[in-house]
Amino acid sequence: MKSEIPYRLSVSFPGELDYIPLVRQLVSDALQVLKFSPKFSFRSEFLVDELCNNAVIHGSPSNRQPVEVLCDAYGDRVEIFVKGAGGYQENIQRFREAIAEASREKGNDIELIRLLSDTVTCTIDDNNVSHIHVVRMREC
Amino acid sequence: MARGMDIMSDNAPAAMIEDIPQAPDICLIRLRGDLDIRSAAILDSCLTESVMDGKKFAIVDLSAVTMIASVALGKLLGLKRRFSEKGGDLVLSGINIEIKMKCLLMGVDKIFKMFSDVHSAMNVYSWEVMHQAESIKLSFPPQIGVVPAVRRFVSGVMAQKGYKGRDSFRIETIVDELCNNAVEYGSKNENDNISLSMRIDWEKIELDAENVSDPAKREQLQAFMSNVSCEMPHDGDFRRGRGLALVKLLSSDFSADVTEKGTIVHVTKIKEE
Repeated sequence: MKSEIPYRLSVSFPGELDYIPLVRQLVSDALQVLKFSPKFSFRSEFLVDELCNNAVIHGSPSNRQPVEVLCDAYGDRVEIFVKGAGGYQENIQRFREAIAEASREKGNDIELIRLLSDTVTCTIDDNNVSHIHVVRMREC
Repeated sequence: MARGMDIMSDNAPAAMIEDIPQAPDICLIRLRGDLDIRSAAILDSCLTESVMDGKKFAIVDLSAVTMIASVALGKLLGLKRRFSEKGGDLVLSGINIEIKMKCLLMGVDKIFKMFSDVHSAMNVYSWEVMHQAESIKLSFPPQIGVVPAVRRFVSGVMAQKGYKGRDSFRIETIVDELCNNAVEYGSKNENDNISLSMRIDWEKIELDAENVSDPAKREQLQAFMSNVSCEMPHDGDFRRGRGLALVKLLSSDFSADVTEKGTIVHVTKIKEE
């Protein structure tokens, strides 16, 4: 696998919690096909699960706004992007603070994301769409 | 529009009835505090208003409720019956774990549909009542090993949407064949992803599989596409083209377009069961 050009898996699905286990499983299966270890895949699917749950619960106030998951698999890392329509600035700010503060009071899911990833970046664009970018390095 | 009503003695309204702009048939009833014997009678009269208001469906949000007496459950049951008589329903959402355990012991889940939050209840309404179609888009690298994962994903989606048994298996098979063909006849460049779009309806599913063609195999693929029929090929290399024949056999509608840019296959499968 080349380091510069990633294998890219992307899924766009309606903002429903019911879809998340399926997306999680898909990402895990695909990562294992791309020669990532079961442990790495399992931890990455946890990240996908948490990020998608956040995107559905906090990010899309109107019904059925799509959530987009993009997973770039490089030789040495996996980068996960989750895009949720309609995220509110205050939710993103809360998320950003929670990541930075490393406080358990902010919720276990945030703590889990922080624990399982090497970098986490949150942005919100002019259309009020939230973008979460997580990098997870391959374990030696 | 939200209408608050004082049921209990404190200042904040213990019941709030809200209209949902994108779903005019639904009223959202948010309750809070203890639903005991005192509040149950007032609750009944207040909530009847929403039934009289022409609404057919109600979502009762119990996320701020701390206790439910059986008499209050009885009132909700009576209200549910009234909605049912109008061809609608009343569902519960956001029940905290402690109350939910008690409700399960009483068998409340056999009477009321219960959802984790209002959002989930709304989603089920959109699908089951409004019959709104849902779109899912997938893009994956052209690797044969990823195809079973895609198939499993599609199978899960089918199960979620009530496509079961034969329908589900046939759609899975179609997806499997389309994706395998896309890998086999498509570009091997790892950046030329295969796209799969699904539009799931209450009655049918529409699939679009798209990939960049392998120039060396384009003519062969065009020949298969132009000759594809519901009959399994018997002559020549009988192993070639069976997948497409199977897809056509299992589909309600099938079309394919092979150009220099790529291959697009469109399949419609109508729900049979």
